[in-house]
Amino acid sequence: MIQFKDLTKKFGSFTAVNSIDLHIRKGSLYGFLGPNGAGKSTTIKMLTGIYSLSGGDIVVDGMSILKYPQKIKMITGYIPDQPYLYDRLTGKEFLFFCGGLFGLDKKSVKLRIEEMIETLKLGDWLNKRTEEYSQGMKQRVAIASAFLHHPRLIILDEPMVGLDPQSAVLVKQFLKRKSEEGITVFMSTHSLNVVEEICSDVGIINKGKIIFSGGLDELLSMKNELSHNFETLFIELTSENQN
Amino acid sequence: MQQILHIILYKILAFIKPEMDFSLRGVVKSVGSTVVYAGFAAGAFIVALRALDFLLIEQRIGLFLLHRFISIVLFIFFLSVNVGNIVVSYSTLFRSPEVAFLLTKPINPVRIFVIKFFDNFFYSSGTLLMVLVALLTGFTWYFKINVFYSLILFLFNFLPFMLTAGLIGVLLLLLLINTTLKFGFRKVVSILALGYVSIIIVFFQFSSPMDTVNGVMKYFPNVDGYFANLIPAYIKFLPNNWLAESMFWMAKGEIQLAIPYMVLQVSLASVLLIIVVLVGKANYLKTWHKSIDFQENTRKKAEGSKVFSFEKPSIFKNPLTDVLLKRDFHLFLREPAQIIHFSVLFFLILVFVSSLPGLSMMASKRVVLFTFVFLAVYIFNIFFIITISLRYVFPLVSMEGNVIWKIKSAPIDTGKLLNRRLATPLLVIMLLSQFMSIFIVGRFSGHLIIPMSVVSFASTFFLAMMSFGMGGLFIDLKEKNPVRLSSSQGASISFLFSMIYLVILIILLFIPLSDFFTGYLRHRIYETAAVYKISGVILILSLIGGYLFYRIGVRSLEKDV
Repeated sequence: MIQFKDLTKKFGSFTAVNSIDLHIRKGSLYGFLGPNGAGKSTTIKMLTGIYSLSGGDIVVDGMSILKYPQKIKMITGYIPDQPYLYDRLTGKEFLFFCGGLFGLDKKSVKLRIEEMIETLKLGDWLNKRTEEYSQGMKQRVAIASAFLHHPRLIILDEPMVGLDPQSAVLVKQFLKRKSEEGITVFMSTHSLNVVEEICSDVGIINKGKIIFSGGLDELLSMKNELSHNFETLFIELTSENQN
Repeated sequence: MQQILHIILYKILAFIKPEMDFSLRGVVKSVGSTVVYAGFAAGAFIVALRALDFLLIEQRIGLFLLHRFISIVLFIFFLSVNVGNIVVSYSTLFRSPEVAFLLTKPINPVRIFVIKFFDNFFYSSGTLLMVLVALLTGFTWYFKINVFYSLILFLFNFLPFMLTAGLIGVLLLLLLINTTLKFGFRKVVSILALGYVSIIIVFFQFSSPMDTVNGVMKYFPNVDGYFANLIPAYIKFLPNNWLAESMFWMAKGEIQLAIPYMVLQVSLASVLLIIVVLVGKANYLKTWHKSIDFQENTRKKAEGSKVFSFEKPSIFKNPLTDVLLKRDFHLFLREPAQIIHFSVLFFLILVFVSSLPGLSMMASKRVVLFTFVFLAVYIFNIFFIITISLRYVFPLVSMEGNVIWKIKSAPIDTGKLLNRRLATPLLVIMLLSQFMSIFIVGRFSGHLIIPMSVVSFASTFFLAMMSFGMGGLFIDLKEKNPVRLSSSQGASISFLFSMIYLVILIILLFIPLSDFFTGYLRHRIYETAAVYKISGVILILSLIGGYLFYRIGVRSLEKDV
């Protein structure tokens, strides 16, 4: 579904993402791990069109991001770590707004919103202004907005940050279900538990380079071989790369 | 087009929705704001009527000269809107989280560019637009131009005139960002500044107000005619001239002669709009990416800086003073919009000061005109102080929103914190104000330097404190962008209050100054007692008023936020 080909991002003399090659298969729930400043968000920002590419290419569903950025956005839903919502609009108005950006008609947006109210437990909150929302509720509305247009790819940047346990469980279950339905989920996270719990594939980036990419099973067997817990393995992998 | 309309519709919806705060304070604030806006519009309307009456009936300068003066004012206004748009556009087009959000959606970037341009244009020029519409209404009322033609003048000349200024501004901004990475920020800004200085110098070289006055006065009292030979050829190609000419012919009741200038104005704005859209289509996304690279590079460079380092001890023994000053210093240097705006303002001050010899020459032996020119030039200094205060003092309280969690939970007195934060901008503004005051007044009469310095001190104190207090009253802890804060509704109201202060200042100073100039010009007597007295009154009133606003500002962080 996604192919990073020799992808590079430089800011002046600093290389944030260094020639990475990755392949994310269709329908996978890909956990993108890495310590702070490793290049996770930069990669995601290139994938979503916020940053330009200093080198290489990203191919989504067979389309190059350099050639077909709009077409890729049509099949993508993006949820940033700090979602931007218009403070003075209600959640429902915001969802209608987002639906319009993807060219959806009111009727289908309305139906979709009703589905989302159920699945994401949005309830009456949707009729309140987003400035009243907690971080968890903002995140749920942002997730709802990303699924309105039936995307084939979902990109999430640290979706669990600031979520209360209820929201966290809800989001995890929702993402897992969507992945089972065939939607590809590409998610950056700090949380090893989340990866262990829901991801099918894992990539680890450190200092702009991919140091591990494969199925969760591979990582788990590596963990078992070394008789480590997940945290120790992660620290070991990322510190090995530093030396 | 459908997508553009869809976004605009929701933006309007978000804009017109009232604030959440339905408390008595919120209602009073909203009603107060409406009253201030309405009052100011009415005030501007009356000022326009009185000014026209004064110039045409009392001073008998004639219709032609009046419109040449209007043309000069419009030229300055054009440059202000133009430069203002460069600064604010940078924030709205390249630093806005809304743009980042929209860019991740399947929207052609040029649509985002167009929407944000107009959003910025109307948002940042809203107050100015209101004041000018009120002045324009005063003009059309005075000359009994009917509503239909007044509307045509506004829609087909005034609006495209402003749009042209904004469009050129955004084109220059794109050029600035695209060339900055190649040639360096300082070099590019210096070249741009040099360009503006050259334009101003050339404009005043070729259209000397004094020459026009002398040229017209040769025909006195027949000064209402059209003296085509007194309009320099190149001035005829400028949009400010087209607007002034339209106004002239409309005032004379010859609408058909005003129309060609409207056609020119609309054509220029349309062509520029097409160019901007085409340039935006080809370059906006690329420029957005370049601006991100520029921001990242600036950040990386600044991170390596050891100047005024937090780690090193400083001359400030008090840890609170030390960290606050260092924080403000580094935040200022690491925000490109702050530096661009400060450079522009500083540069405008230099241009103003360097053009003073030419301006003081405009004053003749006529006492009223001499006083008028003196006050106009002096007030321009205060106008700068207003701009700088709004830009750098108004956002002070709201900018604490970034760390309000730390401020509120730390064992510090918010009053002391704000005092320390206020001290640096106040000192800088005060020094600038004194420098300009001494320089300006010295061009006219050395005997006025001390009393007018007192007035400058009083005005600067009052205006800075008012910006501070109003910034506290309209506190917005969610807005992280100082540029947007200083063009918010609260800042607009603060600006209008400043204008009222300016009018009061003119009223208080006019008679003592004209008495002084009467003695000075006619009998070579330097009678400054009345000017000293009134400067004392202004000082006391400004100190009291300033202190009240200061209390409002300090109290704003003491409340629950």
